Amino acid sequence: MKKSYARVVSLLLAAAMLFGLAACSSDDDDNGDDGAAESPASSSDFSTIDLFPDLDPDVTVSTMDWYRGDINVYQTKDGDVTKKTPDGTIVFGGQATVGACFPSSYMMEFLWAWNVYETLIMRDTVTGEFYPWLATDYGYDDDGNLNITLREGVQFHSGGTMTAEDVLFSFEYAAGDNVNAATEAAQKIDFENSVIHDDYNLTIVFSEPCGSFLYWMSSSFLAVMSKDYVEEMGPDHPYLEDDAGTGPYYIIDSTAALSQTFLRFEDYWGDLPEFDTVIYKRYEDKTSQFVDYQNGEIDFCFLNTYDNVSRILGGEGTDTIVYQPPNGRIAEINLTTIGGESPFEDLRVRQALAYCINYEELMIGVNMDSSMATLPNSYTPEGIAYAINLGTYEYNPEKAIELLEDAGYGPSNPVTVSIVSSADPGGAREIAMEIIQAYAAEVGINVEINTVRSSELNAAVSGPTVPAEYDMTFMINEIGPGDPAFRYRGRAAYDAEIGTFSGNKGIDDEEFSRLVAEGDSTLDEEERAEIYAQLQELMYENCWTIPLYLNTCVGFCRTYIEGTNYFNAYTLDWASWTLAE
Amino acid sequence: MLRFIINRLLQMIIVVFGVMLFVFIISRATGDPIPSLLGSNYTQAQYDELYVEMGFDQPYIVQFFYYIRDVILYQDLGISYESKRPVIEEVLTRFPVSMRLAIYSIVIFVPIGIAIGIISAVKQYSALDYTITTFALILAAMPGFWAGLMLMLIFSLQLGWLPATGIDSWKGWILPCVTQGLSPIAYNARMSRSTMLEVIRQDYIRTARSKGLSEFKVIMGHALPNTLLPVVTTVGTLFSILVGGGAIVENIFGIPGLGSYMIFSIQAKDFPSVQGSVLLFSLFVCVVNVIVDILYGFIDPRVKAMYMGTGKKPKAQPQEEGSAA
Repeated sequence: MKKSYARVVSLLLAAAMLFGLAACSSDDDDNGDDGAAESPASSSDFSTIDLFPDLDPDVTVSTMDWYRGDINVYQTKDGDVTKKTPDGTIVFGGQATVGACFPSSYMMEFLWAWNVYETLIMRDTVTGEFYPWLATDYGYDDDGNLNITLREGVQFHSGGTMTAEDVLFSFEYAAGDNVNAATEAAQKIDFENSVIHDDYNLTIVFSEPCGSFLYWMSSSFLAVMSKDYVEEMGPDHPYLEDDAGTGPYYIIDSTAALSQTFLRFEDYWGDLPEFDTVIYKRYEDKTSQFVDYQNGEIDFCFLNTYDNVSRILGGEGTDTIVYQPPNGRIAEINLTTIGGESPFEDLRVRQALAYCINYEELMIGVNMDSSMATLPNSYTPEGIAYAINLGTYEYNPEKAIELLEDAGYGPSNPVTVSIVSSADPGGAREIAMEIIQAYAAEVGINVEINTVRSSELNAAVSGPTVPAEYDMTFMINEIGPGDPAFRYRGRAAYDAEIGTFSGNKGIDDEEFSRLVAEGDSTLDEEERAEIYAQLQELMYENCWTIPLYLNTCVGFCRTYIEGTNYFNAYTLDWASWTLAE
Repeated sequence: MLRFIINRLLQMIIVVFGVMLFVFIISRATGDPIPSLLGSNYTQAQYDELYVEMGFDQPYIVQFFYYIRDVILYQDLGISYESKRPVIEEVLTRFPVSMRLAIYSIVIFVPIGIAIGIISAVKQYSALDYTITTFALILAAMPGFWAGLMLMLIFSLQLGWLPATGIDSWKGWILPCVTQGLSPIAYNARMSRSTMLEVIRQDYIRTARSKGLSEFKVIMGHALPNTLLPVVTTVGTLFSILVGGGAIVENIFGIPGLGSYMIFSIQAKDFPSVQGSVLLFSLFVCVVNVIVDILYGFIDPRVKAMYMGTGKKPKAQPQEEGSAA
């Protein structure tokens, strides 16, 4: 009798464990850091790669224009989902944490910036053209000074009307020592000689030409804030229950790591948004976020897993639109071309490495398709793809072997190089480096992987020269505000500034130096674009950096919210969203 | 008894001081928070300025002294690097939430655990005993995060009965409490079973039975009070664990408690917040332990006798004589 009980118990136990294992394995997070997976599809045209092969037949797929190609937008069938969140409120679920709601703060969640703080000019997310916002008119004069006329009657959330003094104060604050991440562009302003003509007119004088200034002026770093309020509150004020902005929403409440609440600013100068309250809920766990979305607790789900999106598009979800925006991060390898000992001083070796990698397989292996073909590189000041036709290199191992042989390398004399990155064990960077290592080995390049702390890596790549033992660095850089889709990423482009990059690599190329200097001092946007396109082509030809892939992420929202699209879904322009009739 | 309490309080002060020192050292050893605060681009001058401003140029012993001074004299735990709010405000807002969650879990699930443990012991080697033992083993082995997610998927996503996150209504407490309560059920069931098995083999139980008392009276009147003695200590420890260790449950269910705040602060290298959270937590653990010790003193005559009367330690007595029945 006892034996039979023991058997039953053992069987039950085994079943429970199997159930547990099965359940655990079906709930993997596949947001790009969890290792390799089989690809559902492959295509040489990555912008139209079929990310969700098991689409429910009722799902409709439309495309949106992006300057890099078409972007798929998915819409599920109509169901009976109705808005459960309070009337007049959007509840937004994401993962980002927020340190402060302040333009110059490194800790500020950039995605919110556009609802609370505003800039003098904006940049069209599709065409890339600038248009006036808090400024009604702007332009350079013959001396390269920037004349700005401000919109009248713009009110701050903290009280008071925006004037030229606030603008200059905001720029000076961004450039000042007391700012966490001052921008190089603001530091080029000659504040002493800049002139405030009256409350609504000012002239910004530069100490040296700054071709990228308009880009920066459209980024959150140079958003306008109330001089009086910021001075009154001091530099250590948290700005988590109040702010100094002019945007359509203002922050009123914040619980660290959990939620923030925004209210519509009734004195907003522009059209009032339809939703009077926006609640941002932060989720540490993506399953919780997904369940809340499915239950109607949140209206918009940002940065969730591909697995959950596949469920929605596979038939488990209704009344949902899915966007898959690039998340603004480029993976690239920087090759060290200085020091007198690096094999990469030889262009042919650099090219061999560029040609030996199968980029499509790399993307699939690392990111489970959550990536797209990348830009030429992220190092031009605004990080934009000026040379629109350039992307990753061709996968051509035969050519790589040929180039290595020309350079005097072969099976008896292999190239041995190191690759350095700050990688978590099993994380995307480590997987990427291992894949690169495998492809390189096929053509006779031995790659040794070294992982270091991110602070060490950052210090190395932003220092005057790269350490001798760093033959190449695996970096994930961010696209700057120059890219139409990433206007809020003020910090990012600064990280990957071409001056730092070239200085660090000791790139001794006359043409390169000429184009960098010329681009930075050219104020005409079209001319600059041409110069930077040439610069990117030159960088491509010389293989100083090898772009690998551009990461993407997913967001989805209910169809009862109208006015969302691929771009404002990522930049969170709450003011442009309305409730469907 | 007073001597006992004073003794425990003095021990508590030493422990809290030790914890503060330990946390202070560990926080400094985990890395430099300044790069996180300054972002990815900063000059050496900016770094140096902040370094001095935050007092990192002082010797560790001086930094620690200032920290202790601020805590004791001004109840100042510092300002959070992340939110720039006083840490004392942040932790005191979250602490009651974690307490509430732990109290609910204990009040509801510890009695259940004890009850099924006793039933299991009384019905030893029966089908019910095997079932309960297996059930307790599964619960004990089940990771909290997994159980939480499974409960959420079933009761929130599939059935739609309960909210997945938030504690805006009473319904919101159910899933987190159940998730946190699974472990106490298992622990207490196993513990009360083994204790009860020991107790029911004692001579005084045999005596009670031989007097003709019903089995129910024997168990409830004589065995149960002795079974509960070690459970009091367990509950105290469990309470401390649940308050401080509920981070995973708090994260999954979006609860603004101390555990999730601690995790968030550690990730952000927010030293003052980490130190403040750990200090509060260690204080709490110490206080709970002192309370448990005092309670134990009242419940267990052996301990009571130790500190009563002459104050001399009593001679060791046979366990059956110490029956609280």
